[in-house]
Amino acid sequence: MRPADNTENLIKKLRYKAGTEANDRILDNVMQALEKKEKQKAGATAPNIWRTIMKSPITKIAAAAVIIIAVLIGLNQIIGSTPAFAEIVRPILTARTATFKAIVEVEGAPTQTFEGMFMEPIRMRQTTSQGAIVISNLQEGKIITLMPEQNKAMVVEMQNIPENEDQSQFNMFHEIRKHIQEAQETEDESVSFLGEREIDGLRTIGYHVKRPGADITVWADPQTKLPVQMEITMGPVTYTMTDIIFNVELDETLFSLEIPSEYTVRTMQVDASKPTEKDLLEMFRIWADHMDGNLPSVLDMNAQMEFVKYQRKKMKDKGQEPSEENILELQKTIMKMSRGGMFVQNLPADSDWHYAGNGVHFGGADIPIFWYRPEGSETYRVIYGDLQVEDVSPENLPK
Amino acid sequence: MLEDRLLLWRFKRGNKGAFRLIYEKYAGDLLTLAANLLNDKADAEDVVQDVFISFVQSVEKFRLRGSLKGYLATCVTNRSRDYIRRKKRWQSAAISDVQEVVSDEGSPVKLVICSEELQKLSRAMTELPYEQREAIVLRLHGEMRFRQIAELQSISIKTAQSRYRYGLDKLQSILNGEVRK
Repeated sequence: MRPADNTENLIKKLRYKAGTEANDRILDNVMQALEKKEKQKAGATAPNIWRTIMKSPITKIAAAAVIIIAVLIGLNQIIGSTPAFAEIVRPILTARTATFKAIVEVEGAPTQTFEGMFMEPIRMRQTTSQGAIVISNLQEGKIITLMPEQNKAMVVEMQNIPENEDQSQFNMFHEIRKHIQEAQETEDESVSFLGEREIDGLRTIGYHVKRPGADITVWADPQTKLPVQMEITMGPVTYTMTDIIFNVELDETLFSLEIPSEYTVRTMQVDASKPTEKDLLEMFRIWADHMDGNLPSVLDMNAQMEFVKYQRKKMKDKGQEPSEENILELQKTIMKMSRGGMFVQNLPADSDWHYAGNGVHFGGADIPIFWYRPEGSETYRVIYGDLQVEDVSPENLPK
Repeated sequence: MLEDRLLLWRFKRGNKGAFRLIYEKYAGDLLTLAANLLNDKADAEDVVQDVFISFVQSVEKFRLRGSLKGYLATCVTNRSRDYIRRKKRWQSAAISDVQEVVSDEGSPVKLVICSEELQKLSRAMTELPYEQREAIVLRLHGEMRFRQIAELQSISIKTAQSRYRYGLDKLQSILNGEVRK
């Protein structure tokens, strides 16, 4: 066996050396970040009122009076308080553009990383670490995925988009912005202060926004009041944005929905109309068809994962590798089913919905699996295991 | 140490040249540290770049308590861990990555390995549990004391020493052909 110090000496020799090109590139990028920071700072720096007060001749004569005034107008503001939620989120709400790095973590699936760009009104460009480019323009109702290495493109066209609905769940920057706006409008207790946390050596302060179906966390530099990390969790999906830079000059062509002529294009139409109870029934039906007669164990985004895992397992058991056609078919099925999920997600809080389908087999005529109260109704809609629906008074609801 | 404080002082007053000197002084060591932790040249460059970007962006509030190199090395370690956690690819990709790094002579990051013995060692490092590997890399490339490693890994000094020692023992065994994956 080798002596330990011999191994230690060998390890010390495991050295990596950056080539000039890489070295210059890193240094350039760092210097650019520094310049951006200086520009932002120049725009954001407020006069140091404290220093002004202390320099004033009045201070020497009547410091006590100054302090009293300071207390009256809010000492916290003068010496640098914890910035309020509204200050921290202002850049998010007012940004014309933003660039960021994104990490998408989905329970049970490999983590994905993106370079993201947002442009108003609701445009997004994301480049995956594998080189695929996803561009969405939700006003146009279109999402395109370009795969330059394979010269392939996938187009998702959203049809029947209702007015005043922006399908923002396809644009996480906008989704976060929307939730923050709603939280501010309702002035409820959905916003809480998280205190301090160090992110990459930088002291930050955080706020948590709790919304129906979504948890949002924003960590910001208390000095510049600029968000440095934002996170949105929706069911099993967590989307984290870091390295956020607001109001960067971005070329419109980056968000172009035109597909290069040499690409092979596949198009998928998605019904984006307001989902109804019928969509929920359809979701249960499709689920049972694909899941050997069972119904979902839960009705949130975890259900999608459960579905995909089961389909993969079924294929694996048959010794099949999913083909491109299989994947496309699965995507279509999930898109169709997701309308049922959206119906539930959109139900107002006072709809008092319940799901009891876990472990229930499709066809159970006497087994209530889902019930809710439609808006303005005194009775409940109860869906049974055979997907029959009945209006039921509150006193006759399942216990 | 004094020189670092002076450079920092100048940089905080807007002297970009001072930052360049800091960069030139430590980028190489940090890249070695990151590359040994991540075993991926592109990720190592990303990590070092991100650490320096965070550093320049927060330098006004930065107070140097220990050594600047120690601070930057800690940032690289934390960020490397994030990379590994996020990419969840340590176990599966480590070996193929190191082979790529070792053989890729024309790449921007060169692994300066002259001997076959060092190549074997580099591959053997990928077979260690991450925490043992991290303890070894921080000790030998980050020049950290066991107390600092213990703090970074949130463990006792004794455990940090054990991780280092077990890691070295395992490396020796692998190099002697006693352990197979």
